[in-house]
Amino acid sequence: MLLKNNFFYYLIIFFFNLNVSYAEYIKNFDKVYEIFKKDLTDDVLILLNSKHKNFNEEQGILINNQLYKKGSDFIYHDLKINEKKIFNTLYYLDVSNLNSFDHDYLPINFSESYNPHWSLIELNDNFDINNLNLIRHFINYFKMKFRMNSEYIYLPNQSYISNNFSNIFLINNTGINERSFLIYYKKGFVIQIFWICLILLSPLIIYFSIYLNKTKK
Amino acid sequence: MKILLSIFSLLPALILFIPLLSNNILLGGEGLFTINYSAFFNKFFSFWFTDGFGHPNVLFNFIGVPHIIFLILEKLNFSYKVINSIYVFILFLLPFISFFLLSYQLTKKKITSLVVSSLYCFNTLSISYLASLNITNSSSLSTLPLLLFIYVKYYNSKYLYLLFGFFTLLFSYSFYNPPTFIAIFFSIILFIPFNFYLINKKMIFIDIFKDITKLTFIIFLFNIWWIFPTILSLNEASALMSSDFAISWEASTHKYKNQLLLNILFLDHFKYLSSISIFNNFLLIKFFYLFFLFFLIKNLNYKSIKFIYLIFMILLSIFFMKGTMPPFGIIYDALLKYIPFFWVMKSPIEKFSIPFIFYFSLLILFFINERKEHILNNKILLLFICIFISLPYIIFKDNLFLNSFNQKDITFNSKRYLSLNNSHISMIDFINSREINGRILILPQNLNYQSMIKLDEKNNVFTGLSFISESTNATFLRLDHQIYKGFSKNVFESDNILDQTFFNMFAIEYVLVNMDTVNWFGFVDYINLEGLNNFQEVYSAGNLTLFKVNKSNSRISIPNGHVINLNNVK
Repeated sequence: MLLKNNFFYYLIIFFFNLNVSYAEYIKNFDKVYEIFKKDLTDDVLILLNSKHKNFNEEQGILINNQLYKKGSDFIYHDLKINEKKIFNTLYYLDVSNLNSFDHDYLPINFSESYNPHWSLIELNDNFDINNLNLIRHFINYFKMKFRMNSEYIYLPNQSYISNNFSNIFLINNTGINERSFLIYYKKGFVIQIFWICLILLSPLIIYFSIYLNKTKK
Repeated sequence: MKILLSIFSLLPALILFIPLLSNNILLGGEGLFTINYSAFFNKFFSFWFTDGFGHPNVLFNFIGVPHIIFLILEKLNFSYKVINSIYVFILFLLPFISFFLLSYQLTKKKITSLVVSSLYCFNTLSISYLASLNITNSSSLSTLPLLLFIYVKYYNSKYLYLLFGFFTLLFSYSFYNPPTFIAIFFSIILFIPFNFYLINKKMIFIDIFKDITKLTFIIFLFNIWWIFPTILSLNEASALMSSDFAISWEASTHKYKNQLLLNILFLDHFKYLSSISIFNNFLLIKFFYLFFLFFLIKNLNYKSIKFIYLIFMILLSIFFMKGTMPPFGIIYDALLKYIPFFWVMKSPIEKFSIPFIFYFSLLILFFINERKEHILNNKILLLFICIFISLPYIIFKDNLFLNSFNQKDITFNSKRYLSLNNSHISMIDFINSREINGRILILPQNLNYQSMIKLDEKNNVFTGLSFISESTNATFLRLDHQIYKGFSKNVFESDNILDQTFFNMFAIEYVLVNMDTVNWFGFVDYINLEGLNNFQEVYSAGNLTLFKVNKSNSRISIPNGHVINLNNVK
């Protein structure tokens, strides 16, 4: 009985933890925008530091309890990026000429509302993006999650809010000249698993709904 | 007489279809904004909506069976006109058919059922509700009687709960709006004691409680596929709206408070199109209806439990419809403030009108069904109802959904039946023919998510969510997306909006200038992009011009400018 209770407890906690998501509100956007507009004319990155303690708060700019960090390092590079939207929840990108990028971290900016469920996956060298479909993606992601032989490679990364709006992934620059990635909204996977469980349980649901009124003819 | 009554009852349905026989299609409002279902599915058939800045899908039953049918028909190369006609059928005729099935099941009288179904579906309140053309929300008007028809018909079958559950699954799209779902759910639950009494001629509360529990369980079991993910997204969904906002919104609906009860009596308490507002302003119509009401009130059997229950249901609905308005508004106010999540019922007049019209129609159905015809023939009474319901349709014909607006001495006529402008179609086709990864900023920026778009030189306009942006695969940015995100408005005004930094932040690749947009709720600014270095005209059709932003980032980029102390990340 205890085991049964624990099982359902962990099941609920599992789904809850994996699903809790939110749309990040953008506070003081115009103030921050004005600050950066004065200094820079091209791309601007603002990392929201409130949730990540890796940054040194003393060097940041504090605006109404929202910490934004502004640094002074410029990165010059000549990278080639090829991107493709596969589904709303899945984007492909490949980056080449990474040899010219002599920094430890590679920042990939994804201009979509910040959400902690966006994740970055690296692809095998021989992965054919043209054959990617929903089922193949699901199987590969499932295999990667459960450490089976997958065409996807788990990629350690840190993700933050950039531009006070979008997602930025920081990954290690390994020195490999060409790399390809997927940006995936992983919450979808959890709900798909839930729906598959429901479909598998559907005979039980049908039986139970008949059982409820079985006294009737 | 039977033929006359049948024709009269079906006349509104016929008149709703007639405009579609010409070059017109039904389009507009908050509900029917796409002429391309592939684009619709691209945007919304996902765990993540790409609309605007992109946001998680928090309501998983947004797309339902009708949308899937429309997509299949589109893929099979059926014309939009055919799809549109099916839309009209599902939206306007299904409530009529559903109520007819239920009332015939309850009374076994065809003509009475036909006329009362016409009253249920085509009265001023219902047609005003349906005029939003929102197939998800408004289909609750058909779901309620249809589910109860299944419940009544199969009450003694062992397959009752299986069938009921299956139909809730089939119509789960009509539960898309949570407050509507709550109103429908309680309407269904409160029908159970009534049905129990009809069958057993007595109330056994233990048995009624068991039936309610079973039905509630089945509804949740068959709908858990969207209820569970929605519950898990509650914090996300509640972030879209605060309870303070809900309370102030509820107060804003008090514009109906003048003569609300009198309006409810004539079923025109919920109306927002100028044509429907004057539906019942004809003396002849008023006379017949008042006579019928007088007869109803005078001859109703106030000792019958059946009628007492129906009257109670109507009064309960009115109590909730009045919201925080006096005299009992303090109760609703307390519910809004202290009951968790009750603030979702921020538009009580709209939501509780569904149980109201349902139980009001049932009252009339049973009244006519059970009265003895010693004073006045029932058919005469039915004819009076028919006149009240059908005459406005004969008078208004294709101007049924007309709204007129005056802007700087120019009158614009907004209709739901309209003929599209070729230049708009050609711009939609052009955008869909290109692979656009970034966003398209739409100018001029409206101060509302709805826009008014001029269709011809006669100042006929489309009003609603823009069919131009919503029929394309690309992601559009409107001002309301920015307001939703909490941006200050001045960032998006005139020269600020054209700042390259802003364009790169939000991956704005194109700008669509739509000079057919009419200043309806107000503009932020009209901006002329011609001659500006950063914009290159790529396509023009009529008053629409598409500009490419020359130095724009795409949706995915590796920053070329300024990155914050990366070394600190270690």
